[in-house]
Amino acid sequence: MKREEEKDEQLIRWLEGELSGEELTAFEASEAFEDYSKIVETAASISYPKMNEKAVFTEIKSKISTQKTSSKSTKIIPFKIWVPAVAAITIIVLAVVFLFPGNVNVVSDIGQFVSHTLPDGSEIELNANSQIDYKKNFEENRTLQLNGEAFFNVKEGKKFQVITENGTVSVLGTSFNVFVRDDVFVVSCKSGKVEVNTNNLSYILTKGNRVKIEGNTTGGKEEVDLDKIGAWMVGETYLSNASVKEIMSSLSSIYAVEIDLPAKYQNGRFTVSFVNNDFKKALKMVFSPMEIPYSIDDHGKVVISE
Amino acid sequence: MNPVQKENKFQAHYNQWAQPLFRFIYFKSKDQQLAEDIVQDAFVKFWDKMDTVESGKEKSYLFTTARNLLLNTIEHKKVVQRHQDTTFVKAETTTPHYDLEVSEFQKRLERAIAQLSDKQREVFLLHRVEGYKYKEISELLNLSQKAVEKRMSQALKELRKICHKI
Repeated sequence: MKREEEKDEQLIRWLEGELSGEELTAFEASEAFEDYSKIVETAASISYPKMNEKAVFTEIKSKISTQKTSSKSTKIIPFKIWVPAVAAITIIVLAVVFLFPGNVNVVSDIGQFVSHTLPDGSEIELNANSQIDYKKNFEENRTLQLNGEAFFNVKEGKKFQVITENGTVSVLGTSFNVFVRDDVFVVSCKSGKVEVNTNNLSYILTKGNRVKIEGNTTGGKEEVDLDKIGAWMVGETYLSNASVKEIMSSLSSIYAVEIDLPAKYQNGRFTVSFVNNDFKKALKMVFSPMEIPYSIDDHGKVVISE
Repeated sequence: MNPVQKENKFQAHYNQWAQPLFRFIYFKSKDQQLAEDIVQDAFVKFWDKMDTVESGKEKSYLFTTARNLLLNTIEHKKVVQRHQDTTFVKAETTTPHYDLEVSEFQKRLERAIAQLSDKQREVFLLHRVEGYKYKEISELLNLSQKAVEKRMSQALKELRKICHKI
């Protein structure tokens, strides 16, 4: 048996070209040598099939590009928007960290979306035209300030607080969306449990709940479609029972537009959704259900006829 | 990395690794179509992960991904090997001169290689055709070097036995 193992060892080392001169001579004298060397030489000369590199590459390219465009369920943000945004934000974050060593400040510009991971591992998707600030010792005190809109995926742990001008959201570990612009404050809970506090109101939200507070009024706790919470992250903005002002404000944070609405259109509440990557389509998606006649002039300005 | 840089880098890795990756899968599966599909899927995944794959680890990422894809296919579909009893080299590669050029021994050997177990054939061909060292194969297959060497010696002894028998 020992003999057999030695033979195997010899064979293995011969194949790797590791036998010394003496060992090689001995191996070459063995009866198996001729068979093995013939097998090895012939095996190397067999022509094995080749892959059609060009055809396969074409297929890969088409798969990659369909992924890019049909990303309703996956979270892919088009290159053209995303890349400069990341670059810009990196610069901003670096600049701010450099200037104020105690704080971190992340800003997304109009039309930009930013992903940010907090020091505790929680993740934030920042919608366009929004801002968060937190202290460098975030891990000890999980508190941050938000203005604009963001979706939070909070790592379980100590209390996590989002402080806004309009109220505070406190959680332990969950995912939720916060919208805060002007006097509108909307918190939607996607998983877990969230506590919302304003000066005079307090709510506990569970999965699929949201609360919308405008100034001092609120319709209370509402049910919301889970898919619609943070829908903006997959390229769609969804506004439910929203005032005209809120809709215009959302539209202008995704697209750099100023829209002057005549007074007669400024009332009423609507549920609308619009795409984040196609301005003309978005206008149509917003103004058609609101029954507002509009046109785009030669300078690309949106004109609403009286 | 801007989009143009990313595409150039992707193309470069494809040119370098597509063919070796194809053979890597083909040697084990004996299925040319399957191997092409897996190369395709592995590169699509690679594209998605390119920003996170460390520089210098691209080959390792591609081979590991392709290998997992193959294992999943085998597991889920219980792939019946389409070329089980045929020769290992596909008929298309033959030319009118093929029979004259190729020795009787080579044809025998091709059949013998096809008859090896997947594990033995994989190791044997990676070593003899691709020129990998045992150590490299052990990394590719996530095995110990000893296990690779064992498969290699078994493969050779098996080939010798089959070739003699025919």
